[in-house]
Amino acid sequence: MLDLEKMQKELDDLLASETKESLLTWLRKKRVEKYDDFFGEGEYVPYYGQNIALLLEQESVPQIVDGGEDYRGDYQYSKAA
Amino acid sequence: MVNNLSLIREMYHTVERRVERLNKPTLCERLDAWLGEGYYFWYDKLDAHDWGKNSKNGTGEYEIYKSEVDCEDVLDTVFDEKHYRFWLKTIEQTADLIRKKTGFTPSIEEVNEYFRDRNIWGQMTGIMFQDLPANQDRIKVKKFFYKKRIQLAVYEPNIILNFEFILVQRC
Repeated sequence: MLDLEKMQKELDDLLASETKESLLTWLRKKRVEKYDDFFGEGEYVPYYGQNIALLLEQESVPQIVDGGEDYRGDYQYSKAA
Repeated sequence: MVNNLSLIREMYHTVERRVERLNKPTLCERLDAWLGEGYYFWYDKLDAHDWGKNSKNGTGEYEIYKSEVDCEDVLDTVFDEKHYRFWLKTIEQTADLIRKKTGFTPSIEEVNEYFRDRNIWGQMTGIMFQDLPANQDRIKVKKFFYKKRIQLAVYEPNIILNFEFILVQRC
């Protein structure tokens, strides 16, 4: 049986130890992984390389649905414009 | 013993039809998986069919497997009120902190991955979660989608007690 109090304390301690830098580093890595996962590592470097900073300016990453056919490029086009 | 047995649930795993039958479930490593990397199961066989028809249709046929899963140490946000309230609080607490510290709003996948990446809650073997399906064929009244669509993400494969092929079907 899960000990929810212990789990809550684990989370409280963890969150208290986080800084802006530690969270930004983690979030950047996570979003880069997600783009790599979708596009294939390196395949979108020409665009992506120029806009790496913008990746984190998104409120959240674009919605990628199964198979990728409905990928919405709002981020690319709105930012590029 | 009785309590433990009552927490063993029969659940369903859907995959595209492959050349060979599986002898274990497939690990979902997609970074946009709601509950992070894990072995995903459906609570209701009808949802397993819907998932096959709508999302596992690349080969024209899908397969459904059945497992008994020991849910003793699963965070059950569907049927256990304490677990649900814990889940709600920790998701919002974490999302608030990430937004406050970084200025960016995380997705639900990112919050779940944050828990995994930071390696907390080692005793938790999975999460059971629900959303609401929007399939009119599954309900017996108009408009209101009252049926829960329940998924289990298993993080510790040793709680999957068995794994059995039950059917293959055209999409």
